[in-house]
Amino acid sequence: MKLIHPIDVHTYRQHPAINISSLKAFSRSPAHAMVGFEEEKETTDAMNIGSLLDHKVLGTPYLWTTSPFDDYRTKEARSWRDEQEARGVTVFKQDAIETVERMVEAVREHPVAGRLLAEPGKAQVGMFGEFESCERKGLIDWLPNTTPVIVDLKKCRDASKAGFRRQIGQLRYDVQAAYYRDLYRDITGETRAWQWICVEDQAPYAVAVYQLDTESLDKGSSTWQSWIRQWMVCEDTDSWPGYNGDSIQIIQSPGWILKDETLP
Amino acid sequence: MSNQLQVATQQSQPLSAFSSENAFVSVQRMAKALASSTLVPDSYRGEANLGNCIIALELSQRIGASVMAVMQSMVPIHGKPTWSASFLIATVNSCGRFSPMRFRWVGKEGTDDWGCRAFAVEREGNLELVGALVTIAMAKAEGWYGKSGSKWKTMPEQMLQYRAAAFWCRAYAPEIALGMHTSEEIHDTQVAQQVVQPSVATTVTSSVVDVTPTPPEPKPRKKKVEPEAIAVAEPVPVPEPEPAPAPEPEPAPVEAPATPAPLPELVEETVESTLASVGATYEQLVKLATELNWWPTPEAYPTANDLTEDLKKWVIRNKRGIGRAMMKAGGAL
Repeated sequence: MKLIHPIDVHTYRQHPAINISSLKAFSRSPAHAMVGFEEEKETTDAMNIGSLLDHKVLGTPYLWTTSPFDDYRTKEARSWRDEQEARGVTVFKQDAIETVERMVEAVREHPVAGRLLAEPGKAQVGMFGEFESCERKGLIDWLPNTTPVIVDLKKCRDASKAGFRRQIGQLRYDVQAAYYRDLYRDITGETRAWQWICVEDQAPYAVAVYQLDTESLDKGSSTWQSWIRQWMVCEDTDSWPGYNGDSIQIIQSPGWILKDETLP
Repeated sequence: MSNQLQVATQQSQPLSAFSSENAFVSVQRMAKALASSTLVPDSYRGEANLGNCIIALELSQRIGASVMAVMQSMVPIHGKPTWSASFLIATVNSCGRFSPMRFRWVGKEGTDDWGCRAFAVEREGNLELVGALVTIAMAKAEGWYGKSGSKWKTMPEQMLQYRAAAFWCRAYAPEIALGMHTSEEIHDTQVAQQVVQPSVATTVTSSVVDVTPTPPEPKPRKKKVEPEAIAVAEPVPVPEPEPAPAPEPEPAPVEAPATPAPLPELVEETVESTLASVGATYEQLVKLATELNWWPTPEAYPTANDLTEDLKKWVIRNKRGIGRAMMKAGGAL
């Protein structure tokens, strides 16, 4: 069990230990999880923007450049882009860079987020630990030296409390937070709180900082453990069931329809 | 292909005490009769425990067990209802859906690696259902082992089996446990939490607005209060939390007489057995380790026996990830 800092993302990704992103697919079904294991995830523009944001805010290593071309219709433009990609350099258009710079500025100027990131700390910390004789890993965005929190920087469309709460539920950020908190505690013996710095990717680039409550973390904790156990069983038996197996299940209308007496 | 129409039928549910007022009145009458019996356990006896009897009746109907079996096997620990592990195993064995539960052992007795998994075969589909591995190392890491009076020290084999059975039930037949834990689990985790909590309280629960490098002295934990967000703002004086009253010590649950354990099948995981389980050779592993930079100098280990103890353990821990990486690499190996 260890923390590794600094760790380059490539080394981290190559490590065969299980990570939370792979486990999240178990929230739908093992069959969905298997698709995620088997298919390489393609890097999207949104993911690239997120990486550039991490790089500019946290100082994580990232190779990128600005495109001198408006589009890639010409042979020369395509050839230049392919050459960059072959070198592992991500190409951004000027407007994307400007957007990220505004987001960075907004984060740094935010009274809480700015202070949290300004204090000494470590960016991109790799964690490797065990759970039931199986190795698991995680990558922390920001670990301040003194404030006892683990910080995750999130780019989002809606950083309001209601909006981000929905996103927590949809993308199971709660389970991710618990997974990281528990892994960090297993390795260091220290329990840290979990905070997100959320920054919107559109003007006014609003920023909010949220700390996940203990109840949600504890619930998330049992969820990731159940996913990892499911994963081990699925891998060991090479069985990846979908939703229902072979049976027909009774389904009911949503609770709000059944409770609403004004509906015909 | 059969064109027989498959229709899902809603099975008639047994009467629930809480389904209607009439049902409740009827169950209450039964509960009164039980509470007046001198043969039921203490926690169900007398007018004050009518509620417990109603719950026992409800549970017995839900899981199809006799109410006496439920009363004998449901143990309240720190106010939470729990099952005895032997009851869970007996219920799985008698439900008809699975073969009797058995245990597969790993590691060497007396070491931290010693542990077992519960398994049973689902009769429909003939699928072997293997539960999570429970080891002494896990019991230690979770704080179950170290507490004073822990049965993990005196009856490790039985505790490993009980915990493995509880994990198995939760994964494959959660409807049998109805979300309840076993008495052994609750007993272990309650105490383990008490051991772990002070550090949690220090950093999270006690509303610390802390930017100083020196952590405050651990304070006695108050009852569970949602932490305030840990801010990076100016330090604010923190009111001294009052020490929580010590919880009433619960008597340790009385173990049901131990059923003779099945003969353990001793299987120690090795690098070779791990690789065999993922269908790979040692040469393929070394090639992959080189390509993916898993080890600093893979060429230093020409055979599996040359691996350091740490690397051997690393291979065993990562066997599923290695298997998946092997599959992805496919013909390249």
